[in-house]
Amino acid sequence: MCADTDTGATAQSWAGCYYDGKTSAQHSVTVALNERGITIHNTDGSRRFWLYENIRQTQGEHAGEPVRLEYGHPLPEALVIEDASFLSDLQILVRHRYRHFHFPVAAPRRIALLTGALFVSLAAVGALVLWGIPAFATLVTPWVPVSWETALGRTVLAQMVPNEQRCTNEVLQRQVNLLMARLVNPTKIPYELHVTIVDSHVFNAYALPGGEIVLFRPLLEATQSPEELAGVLAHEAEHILLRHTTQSLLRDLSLAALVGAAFGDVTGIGALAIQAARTLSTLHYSRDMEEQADLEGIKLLQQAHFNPAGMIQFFETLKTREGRLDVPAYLSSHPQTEQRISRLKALVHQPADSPPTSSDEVWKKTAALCRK
Amino acid sequence: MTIALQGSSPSISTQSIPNKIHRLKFHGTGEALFGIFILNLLKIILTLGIYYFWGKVKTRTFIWGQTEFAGDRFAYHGTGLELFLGWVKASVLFGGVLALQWVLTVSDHPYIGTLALWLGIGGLVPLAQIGTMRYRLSRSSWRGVRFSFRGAVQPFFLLSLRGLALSAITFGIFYPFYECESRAYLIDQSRFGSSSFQFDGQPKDLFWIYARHSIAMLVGMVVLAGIIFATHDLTAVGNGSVSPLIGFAMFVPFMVLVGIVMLSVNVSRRRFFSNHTSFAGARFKTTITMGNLLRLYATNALLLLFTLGLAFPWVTVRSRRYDCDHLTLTGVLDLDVIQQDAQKATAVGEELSGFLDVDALPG
Repeated sequence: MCADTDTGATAQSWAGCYYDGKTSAQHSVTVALNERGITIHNTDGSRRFWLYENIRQTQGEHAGEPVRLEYGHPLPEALVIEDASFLSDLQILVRHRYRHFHFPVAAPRRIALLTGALFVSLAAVGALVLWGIPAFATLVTPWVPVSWETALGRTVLAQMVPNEQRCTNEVLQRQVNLLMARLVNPTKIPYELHVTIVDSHVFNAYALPGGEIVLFRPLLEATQSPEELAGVLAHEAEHILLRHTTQSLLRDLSLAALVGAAFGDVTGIGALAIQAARTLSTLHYSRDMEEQADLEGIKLLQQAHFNPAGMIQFFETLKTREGRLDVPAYLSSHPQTEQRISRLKALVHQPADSPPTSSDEVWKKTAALCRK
Repeated sequence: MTIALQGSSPSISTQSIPNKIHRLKFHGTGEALFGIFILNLLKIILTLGIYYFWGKVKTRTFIWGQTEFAGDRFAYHGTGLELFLGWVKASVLFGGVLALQWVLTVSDHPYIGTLALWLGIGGLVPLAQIGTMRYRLSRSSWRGVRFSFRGAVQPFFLLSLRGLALSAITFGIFYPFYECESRAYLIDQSRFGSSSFQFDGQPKDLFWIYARHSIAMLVGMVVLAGIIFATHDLTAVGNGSVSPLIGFAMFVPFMVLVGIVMLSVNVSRRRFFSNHTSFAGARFKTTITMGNLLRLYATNALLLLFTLGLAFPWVTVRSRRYDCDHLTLTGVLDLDVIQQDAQKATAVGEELSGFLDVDALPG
């Protein structure tokens, strides 16, 4: 503050410190208020007048903070006043007329305001996460070009499943490809569906955007017949065809960007995008998406004359494995198995119209071909 | 460097100014900052993120306004609109580099794509650092006089490129020299009004700081390993009969050693950088020690832990107060006669720093 504050402040005037914006020199002044503006009296008798509408207040809003008023542009003159009574007198004069001044808010009102803001924020975040962001993702997904999805899917696949982990058995791969081709006619879809079989201990299967399906050995070996595997493939293929993967990725990315914006800096959006792409295997689909994939998957099976009971049979198998350590990765992203089975059973009224593709014994041998 | 004396107080001459210790003080409270954060959060959500830039200005205006030097508070002059426009331009630059990599990868040139990404980011980092310095200083003032940064991108870029390349070739031995040189450039080009800052740290001193700590770490590791080997029956470990708990307990002294050495490096670096910085002939001096810094880190960590992060504003205020309480500027300094000498700057670099997660003056 100004070294020399003895500038003759009275009941109607306040001691202040004036900076001219040209040098760092402090000028002790007295300040008076009237209807239209502020008069600043210098010690040498000269004075200047600032109109309220041209004044910017940059400090003084917080308790204990001196008032700082700026005037002019781009290098403003400044006036700093320590006395808190200046602000309360200013408030009386400018209230309802000039909205660009900020006054300290009394503690009870402040607490009420902040509590209110906190609750509204939480409600808004909830609404955004539950409805806003999914709606946004649904809206944007149709506009994502298929070529982007394909390129993204391939890049992520290359990163997540290194070549040495892939099953190379040609007989097995051919069998799986045949099932896939029978399920979905490649000429009628914009994607090239491709199944990669991974030799690992994880019990899982997932879809990546653009046509890549990843199938893990333990899940493959758990299928008792080609129809069961066709059920799994039909479900994952529908996630791709219905663009659930892209939609979920967009949803997760928007959420991450929002969290980033809320908590400080929007740090490394690029890194964020890569991170999100890496977590594609753990993408959480909404319950609606899962039900839709089940329903459409059953239709695929019926159109391809597979016995849809295979899909149900696979979930029965899955149920017996519940509680085992390796399964949750697959189960966690899917609805409750029990409910799912009863829902699927209700969907499948007509009996199977086709004989089994191959005997279960032959299939079990084929499914085991991945094991090195 | 001389202070321009043609100011409005011609009666004051350098002879009459005493050698004085000027102090910093931080007045802000965690409660006030918490209020700012909550209101910012609400407005960011309601505007779907757009308010972020205006919120940033609110926070900075508060932090600057609560920081006092020699009896006067700092002021922040940035606006939300210029930060927003800076962000738009920065996203075009950053997005351009990402798009180039994407196009090259999709058109079957993944290696050229990766190269383009690294070159692009490598080029953007010095741009962001210089831009951040220029923008932040140009929007900060004390007693109505602006700070400024006079450095340019090209010399800093060449300096960084040379420094990083030499550090890589010499397996890090050159790194303290590079670190000193880049710090000197950033400080020497900084001004307050017409008066400038200087950095006179000698690279060899920084080198010895790193060398000393490396040796201490190495010796400590060997000694600890020796003690553990001498006091434990290794054949038992080999048989797997030692419980995992003891295995973990053996690991603890190493973690403590690494923690102490890291803290000591941090304190030594901060003292080195602060104590070798001066302004118009007056010297900065820091009083941070391992003890008081450890106390700050530990209490802040506990605060965050027990409030699940909600104490973040209080932690920010405590760190800021700690920084101010432990830094002084001592010397013969006439603070009344510094001439305004402001500079124009845009917020592109500032926002680019956000994308790249770099800061102008790390450490």
